[in-house]
Amino acid sequence: MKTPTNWAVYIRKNENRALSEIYSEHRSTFIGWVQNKSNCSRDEALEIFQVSIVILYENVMSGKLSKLDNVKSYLFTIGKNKMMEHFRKIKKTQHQEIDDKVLLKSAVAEEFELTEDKDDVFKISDALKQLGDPCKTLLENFYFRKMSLEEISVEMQYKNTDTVKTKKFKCIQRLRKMYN
Amino acid sequence: MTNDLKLEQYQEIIDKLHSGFELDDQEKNIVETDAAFQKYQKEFSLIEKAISHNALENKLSDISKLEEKYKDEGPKKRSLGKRSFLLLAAASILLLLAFFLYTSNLGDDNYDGDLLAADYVMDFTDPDNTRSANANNDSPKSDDPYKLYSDANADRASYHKAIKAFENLIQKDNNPKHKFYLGICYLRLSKWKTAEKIFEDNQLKELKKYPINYYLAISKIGLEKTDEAIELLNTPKTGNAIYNQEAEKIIEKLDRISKRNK
Repeated sequence: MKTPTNWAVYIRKNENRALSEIYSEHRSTFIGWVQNKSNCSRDEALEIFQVSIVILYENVMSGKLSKLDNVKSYLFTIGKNKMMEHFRKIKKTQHQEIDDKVLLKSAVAEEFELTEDKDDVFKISDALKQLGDPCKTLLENFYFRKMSLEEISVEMQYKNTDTVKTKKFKCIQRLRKMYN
Repeated sequence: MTNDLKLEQYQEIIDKLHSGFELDDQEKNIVETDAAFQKYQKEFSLIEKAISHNALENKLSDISKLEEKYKDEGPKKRSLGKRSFLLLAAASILLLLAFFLYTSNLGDDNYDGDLLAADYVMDFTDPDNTRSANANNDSPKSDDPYKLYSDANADRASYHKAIKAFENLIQKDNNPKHKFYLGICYLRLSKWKTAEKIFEDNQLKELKKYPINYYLAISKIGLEKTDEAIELLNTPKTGNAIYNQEAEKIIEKLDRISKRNK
């Protein structure tokens, strides 16, 4: 496998394949490293690994990270921060049961800085799930993956960019009606 | 203006801001003074957050599924075993094959600019929607260069008609956008020299969002001016990812041809 020179571009072009490669390449080393550093369980280490990958992905897609030649170094830096946060939380919630996925979910929420608008965003998020495809994918492609109208028309096999634009607008208005 | 049209206008402005395009004066005025727009924009920011949130949740789910695939993989073994030896042998054979294929092409130093350039003349995505903005539904098809251009994708002969129509239009309205489209029509007909002249017109520099350098590079490739083409493709990129990707592919290809011919 040829190593990409810029992982950020590779992730944008082919996110599933790129993330799968990153996952398989670094999984064992990362988990071993976290366990050595913190003496935590394998499950906790795995959770930190998965959170780190999601954050890496989010940083690429949001545009915060446009160039990445050493994915291992970046991933481990995120991992180190997440590890410290995770154990700070463990200390605070020692006597509470922690749901499997709650740490992952809260990590995702934090990356979003969802504070005062959290409830509204979750409400819209639920409506978006109900909206389904092709609207959900179209909106994600434009606003999250930042694909151009041309790229979307090719990927989703629309006639032209005007069709994409019209469809996108209609999807947004349908979504607004659903949650309002 | 109906409510729907107003919302469409607001969405257009938001999308322009999202894509980094410049707003016109009217749009800037709306952003600054229209309370209804500001309310819509605030609402839309929540929609964007929700879209991103959903996308990340889905990705989280995908990543969790990866664990099922890789959970039984232990740490990678470093010692060479039988399997590694076979892989190494297979890789060596492939390398040898690649070497023979490469050397068999060394003698072929005929670089066909025509064929290469024709491969990369992409249909243009107009950020200003000039085509729809200028399409005059009342005018006969034979007069409207933008209609003729749109129809010409499957029918090369129509490019000749589009060219005539653009040239007529330019005489009345010396808009660089018309010249840009004229240039693409010439590229479609492999008229590299004429296209080169058009894309080198200083007036086209007014079109900030247009991939002028990309199309000029294509005309240079057609004329086998490889070095000039590579220089153009390496200039600061436009915001459009497709052109940037295609430019990278072309540069790689031209580099290979150039090395082969030295």
